[in-house]
Amino acid sequence: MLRVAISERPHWQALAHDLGFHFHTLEGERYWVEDAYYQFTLEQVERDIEDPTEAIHELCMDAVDRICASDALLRKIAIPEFMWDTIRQSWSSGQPHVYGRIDLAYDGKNPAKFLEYNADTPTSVYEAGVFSWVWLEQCINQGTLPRHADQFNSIQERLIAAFSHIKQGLPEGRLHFASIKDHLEDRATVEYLQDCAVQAGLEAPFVFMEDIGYPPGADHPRFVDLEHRPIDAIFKLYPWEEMADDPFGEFVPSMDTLWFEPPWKAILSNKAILPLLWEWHEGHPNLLPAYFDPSPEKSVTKGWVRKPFFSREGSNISLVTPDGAAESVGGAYADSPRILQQYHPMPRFNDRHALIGSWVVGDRACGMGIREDSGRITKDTSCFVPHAII
Amino acid sequence: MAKQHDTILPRRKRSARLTLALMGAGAASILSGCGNPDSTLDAPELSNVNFTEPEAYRSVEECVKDNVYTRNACEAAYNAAQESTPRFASVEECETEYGEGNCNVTNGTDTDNSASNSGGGSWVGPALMGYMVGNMMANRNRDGARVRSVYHEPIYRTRENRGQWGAATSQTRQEVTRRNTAISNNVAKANTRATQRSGFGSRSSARGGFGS
Repeated sequence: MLRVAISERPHWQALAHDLGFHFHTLEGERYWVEDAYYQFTLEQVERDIEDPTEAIHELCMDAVDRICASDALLRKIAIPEFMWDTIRQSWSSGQPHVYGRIDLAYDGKNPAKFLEYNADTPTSVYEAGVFSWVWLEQCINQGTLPRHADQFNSIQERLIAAFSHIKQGLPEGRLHFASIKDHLEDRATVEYLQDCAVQAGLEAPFVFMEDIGYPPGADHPRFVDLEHRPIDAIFKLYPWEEMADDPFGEFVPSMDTLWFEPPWKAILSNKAILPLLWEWHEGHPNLLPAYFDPSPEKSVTKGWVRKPFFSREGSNISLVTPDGAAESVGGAYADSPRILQQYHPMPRFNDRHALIGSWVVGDRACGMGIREDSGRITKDTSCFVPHAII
Repeated sequence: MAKQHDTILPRRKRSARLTLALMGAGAASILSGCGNPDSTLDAPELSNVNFTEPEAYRSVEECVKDNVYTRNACEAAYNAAQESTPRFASVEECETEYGEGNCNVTNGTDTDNSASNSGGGSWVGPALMGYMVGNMMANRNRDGARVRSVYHEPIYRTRENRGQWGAATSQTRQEVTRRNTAISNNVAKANTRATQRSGFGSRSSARGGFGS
């Protein structure tokens, strides 16, 4: 694993525009960075990223099964009781999920460590699946990368396969898509997933979360879109824990609308699975020691990271390195219970910490993206850097 | 642990092609990284994206040396190219068509799949000037039904303790949907005014996006 300088493609911004990648620069700061790439060997990718990703995913699926079977565990991970039946039903009926991103700390030599599973609302899938792919092909074409250069990336192919599978359970052949208003990145991610769904033969209309309608009074009701069309099934880039807290959350269990990611994903996007996985698989080479935080009001001990059960983009995470360097990110998730995870340094290249996001579509590991941040906590302002296998 | 790579297709971890149906200025763009875009697909190619053309190789060794494809891929493509060349009863007959010195005798028994070659023995045909491994990737049809892909295995695992999404689910849901369509067609009309909105995402401004 190396960080290698490379010349940028001329006019890549125009290409990004043509390919619908409008958030390559955010608030004047570059998000997509291509003056360097991360270089991996095939062995590093297969042995250290791909295989562990599938192994971790399987541990997580097993965890869902165990947690679904236990009222005590569902309570422990702070899932509201009115959602339990919905979650269990979605799991036992085999409702498939679409995708997720497993974040790994990996330095090219030692076993990758599982930091968290963005299983419910992962973003950066377009950057990893499409724009990185085009980057590699063009670099080969322009001679800046050798012809045998490759990339761990069959993300889109798998997404289309996942939507084809989901389509079999949707007699109307229609899957709505939703994200919140005024958020370009979330909207673009959903647009990309709609694109894949259309390629899988689905009809894929869009509705903003805020515009979803609740029609009171029907016996077997479904939520409706802005045209009052019933929503049979919908993919939402919106977290389950937020939905549960929203005014319409209480209607979800009684409605026939089918949600993707499925309700059982509420278990996996919850950082409370980290201490449970450690309890059940202590010593696993890809897991870090983790515990439920008994005293979240106290300051973090050296060598540990405190994370809320529910948080996005690094919010409300605080850490203290073994040498006592403290770092924290504020945010809106202060009300959530916490876990403690052992601090594990991410590799640094040019004073930047690199985090590997390993993509799971269906039950397969199928690609990765690298995000860099000057700090130790990867945030929504981190940069995305492409990779190549050489 | 070493992976079982496909024995025919190139050793690669990335998809051979990408298509965007909705996104960007060039919606319905086909991006192809290996081989020409399938000619049966009539969507316009992005004019400013050019990708590697499939390389023509004169021999299996040349192909292997290029370090792009596996030996198996190189051999399979070579054999496929050999099989697709016309056969003649004699060198003279072949040279009448292809010109003097452009034909040779090929010994069918020195290839692995000799059994599938007509006659199994030697034949006369035009000398193979070059063959393309990338052409093997073009065996795709528009709806993807017979796509020969690196990743052709199912992406979902069967789990004993879970139901099977698909046929069974579809049937129940079909009933539910039929019932609901009848109900909601009436209800939707009657309750258009009563429909409540802004019940999801109302606190989203505080959190600034939910992607992670």
